[in-house]
Amino acid sequence: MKLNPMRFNRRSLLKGGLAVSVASQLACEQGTEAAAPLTLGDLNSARADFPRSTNGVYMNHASQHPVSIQTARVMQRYADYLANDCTRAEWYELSEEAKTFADARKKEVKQLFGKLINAKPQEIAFCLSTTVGENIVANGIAIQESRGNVVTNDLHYSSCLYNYKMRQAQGLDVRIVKHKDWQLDPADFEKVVDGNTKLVALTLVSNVNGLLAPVKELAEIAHRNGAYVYADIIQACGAVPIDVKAMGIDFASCSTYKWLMGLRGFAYLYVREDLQGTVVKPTEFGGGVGFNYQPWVETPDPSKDEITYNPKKGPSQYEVGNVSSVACVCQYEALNFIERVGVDAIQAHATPLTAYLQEEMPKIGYASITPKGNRSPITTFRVPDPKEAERRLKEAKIEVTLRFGNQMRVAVSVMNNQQDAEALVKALA
Amino acid sequence: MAINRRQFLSTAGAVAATSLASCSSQSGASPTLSDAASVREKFPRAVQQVYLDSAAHAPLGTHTRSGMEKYMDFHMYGGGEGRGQYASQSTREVKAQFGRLINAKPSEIAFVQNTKAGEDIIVNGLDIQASGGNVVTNDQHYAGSIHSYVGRKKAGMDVRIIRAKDWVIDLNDMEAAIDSKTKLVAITLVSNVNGHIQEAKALADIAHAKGAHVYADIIQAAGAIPMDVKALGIDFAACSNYKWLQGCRGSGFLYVREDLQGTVVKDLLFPGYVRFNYPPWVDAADPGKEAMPFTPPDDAGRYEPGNTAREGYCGQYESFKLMEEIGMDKIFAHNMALVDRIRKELPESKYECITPAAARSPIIVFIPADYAGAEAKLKQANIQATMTGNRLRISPNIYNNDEDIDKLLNALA
Repeated sequence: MKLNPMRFNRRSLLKGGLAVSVASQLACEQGTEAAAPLTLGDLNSARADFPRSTNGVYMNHASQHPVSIQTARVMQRYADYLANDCTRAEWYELSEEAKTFADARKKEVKQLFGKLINAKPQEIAFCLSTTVGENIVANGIAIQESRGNVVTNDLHYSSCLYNYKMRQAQGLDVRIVKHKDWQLDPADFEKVVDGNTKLVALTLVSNVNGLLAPVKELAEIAHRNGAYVYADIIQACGAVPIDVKAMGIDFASCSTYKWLMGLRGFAYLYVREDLQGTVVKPTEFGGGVGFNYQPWVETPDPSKDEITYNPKKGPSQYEVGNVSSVACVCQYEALNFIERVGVDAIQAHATPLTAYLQEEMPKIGYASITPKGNRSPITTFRVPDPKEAERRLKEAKIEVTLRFGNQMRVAVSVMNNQQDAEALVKALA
Repeated sequence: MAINRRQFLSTAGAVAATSLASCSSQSGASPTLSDAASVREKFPRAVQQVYLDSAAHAPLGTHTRSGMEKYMDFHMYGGGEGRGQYASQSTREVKAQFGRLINAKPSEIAFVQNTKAGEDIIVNGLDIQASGGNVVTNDQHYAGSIHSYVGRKKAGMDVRIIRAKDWVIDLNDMEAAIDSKTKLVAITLVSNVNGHIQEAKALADIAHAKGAHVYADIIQAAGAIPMDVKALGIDFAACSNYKWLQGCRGSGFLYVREDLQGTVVKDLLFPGYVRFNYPPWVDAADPGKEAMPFTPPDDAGRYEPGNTAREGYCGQYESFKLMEEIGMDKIFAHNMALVDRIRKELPESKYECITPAAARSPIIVFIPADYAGAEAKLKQANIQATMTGNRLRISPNIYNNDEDIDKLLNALA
C-alpha cells in the first residue's frame, strides 16, 4: 500500500515551523511543491547563498563557518523524511529524494570527502569529532605499550596538546617542539624524532596563526624514522588544497563545522588503507553478534559459533554506532558546493584578502604573526589595545576572534570581499 | 494547542485506566483519546499510518524539528536576535532535563554520540583487562554490545555471557558468574528483543556486594518507563536519543555516578585544552605557573570528546519539553494501556507472546505462527512494527491511540 502522497510535503513543516527565517524561506516555495531544491551557486552568488554575510562583517570562519541557506533547507527536507519515512522504507514507495535519504547519503559523502583530500572512500571513517579521530589513531597504534614516543608541537591544537599532556602524565613519552617566531622548523623535529617515535602529530593549518605546516618535510623525517604522521586538518580541509598522499599524511581527521561548511558532532577520519587493522588496531569492536542457539533459532547451524562474531573490515572498523545523519546529509550539500567551486578557487579567493590585511594591518599597529606568503585564509595579528579593539569591532559589527590576551584571528571565506577587509582596517585605524 | 495538551495532561492517567478497564470488560470498546490529539498531531508519520515502532526509531515530531531549525538559524545567520541564546540555553538545559528523567544531576551527564560510544567510555575507563578483572553480561544485552565484549574477549578480556532461559535472565545465573574480580556487570535494562525488564536493583545489590559496578543500556528504557538510576543501583548508563527520547541519531547521553567520575572511570578521551605560559605566547611568563598549564574538567564533561551534534540536542530539548509537560508517569500509563490491549486481544494461537507478563515496558514481542503472512498483513494495512528474525515487535508511544490498536488487531486477526 502506498502512503498518503501528502506525506512528503511542506504542509506539516509550515504548520509547525517556529524557525521564522528558515520557515519563511520555505514559505516562498509554497505552491511550487515539485520544484527541485535550489543548488548552491558559485563564488559570485556566495553572499546570497550564505546569509550570514548580510548580518555584519563575519570573518570568523576558523571558529565556525556559517551554513548556507541550501544546507539549511536540506536539513529541513531530511527532517521531513525523519518525520514521515524514517524506517522500513523498503515497504513503501518513496519519493526519489526520500530514497536518497535512506542511508543519509553516507556513501556519497565519503566519496566526496575522499576526493577532497585524495583518498579512497574505503580510507574514510565517520566519527564524532576531530578529537575522537586523533584518539582512535593514538589508541590504535598502542604507542605507550610499545614504549614508543609521540612528537608534536605547540602549534598543534590546544586540545590535542592537552590530550598528550594527560597521556604524558600517565607515562607516555611526549615531545613537544616549540615554534620559532610562529613557524615550524623541520630541523627542530629532526632533533627529537628517533627510532622509537611512533607518531608525529601536527595541525596542518594552525588555528593560532593559520600557518600551513611544512608537512612534507616533517613527514619525510617521520617516515625515515619509521614513524607515522597524523594531521589535524580541521582548519585546512576545504580551505587549502590537500593531497594526503603527496603530503605524506598517514592519518587525518576533521569535523565539518569549519571550512567544510557543515555541522558539529560529525567528523571524518582518514586512515591510510594499508595501515588499517594492522598499524591502527580498532579498539571498540563495532558490529553486532548473531545468536546461533535455541530459542534464538529453531535449528542451530552446527558449522557456526553459538555467538557469531562479525568484525568489520575497512574504515568501518573504527566506527561505533550511529552518527548524526542530519549532519551527514548537510555535508552532501556542502561538499558538492566545495567541489563545484573548487578548493583552488576558494583559496585563490581568500589570498588577496589576506594579503591586503597583511599589508595594511601592520601600518595601523597590528603586527602579523602569520608568515608572509602563507597560503591559508587565516591571518593573526597582535592587538595593541585589546579592549579598545573589542569595542570598535562591536561597534562596526565585525566578528573575528580575539584571544590569548592580545591576538586577533581573521579568517575569510567565500562570502567575504574586499569591502569586508577594508571595513576591518577602517574600524581599527 | 497548549490547552489541548493540558487537557491531555489532566486526563491521560484516567484514560489509561479506562482503557485497562475496557479490556477487562469488553474488547474493542475503547475510550477515545481525543485529548491526546494535539500530541498525536505533532508526529506527522503517526497520523499518516499506524506507527507502532518506537523501539526502532521515533518519527520526528514537528516540535523537535523546530528546535533543530532554530539551531540551524543560529548556524546560518549568527547569534543575534536570541538565536545564540537559544542554542546555548537549550544545550545546557537538555542535560538537566535528561537528569530529571533518570534522577541524576546535570553534572553526572555527558553528551555522547550514541549508546555504544557511552558504553565504550565506561569499559575503557574501568581498565578491566589491565587489572585482571572480568565483565559479566548476558545474551539479552544489545547485540552490538555483546559484539564488543566478544571482541574484547578475543583480545584477552575475561568476559562471561549468561544465557536467558525462556527469554528471561535468571538472577541466580548472574550471581553465580559474578565474583570478586568482576569489575562490571553490563546489562540492557529493557530488552530490545522482548521488552523484558532486568531486575536491576537485585542485580546491583549482588554486584556492589562483590565490588563490581553496574552499567545499563537504557535506550529502550529512558522515556519508555519511569526509571531512577539511584533507586535501581545503576552506576553508569547510556542511550541514544532517537528511540523513546523522540530525538535524532548521532546524539545521546551518558550517565556516570558522580563519585565514580575520574576515579573508578578514568576519562581517556581527554577533552580539555592547555594554555601557554612562555614567550611569544605571553610577553612575560608567569613564574608561578607551568609552561603549559591545564585543568581537567571536573564533571561528566570529562567524558565528552570534542563537539557534539548540537542541532540534535536543540531538537532533544524540545522533545523533553513535551515529555515533561505530559509527565513520564502519564506517558507510561498511556503506552501500557495500549500494550495491555495487544497482549490481551491478539490471539495466542497465532501469536506466541515472548514478553513475560511481568514485564511492564511498552515493548511487546510475538512469534507469529505465519511470519510471512503477518508481515504481508501489516504492510497491507500500512502498519509499521519491527519484524526481524522470527519475531514481531510492537512498541506504541504517546502518538498512538486505541484506533491504531484496533487497526493492528483487525489486520492481524
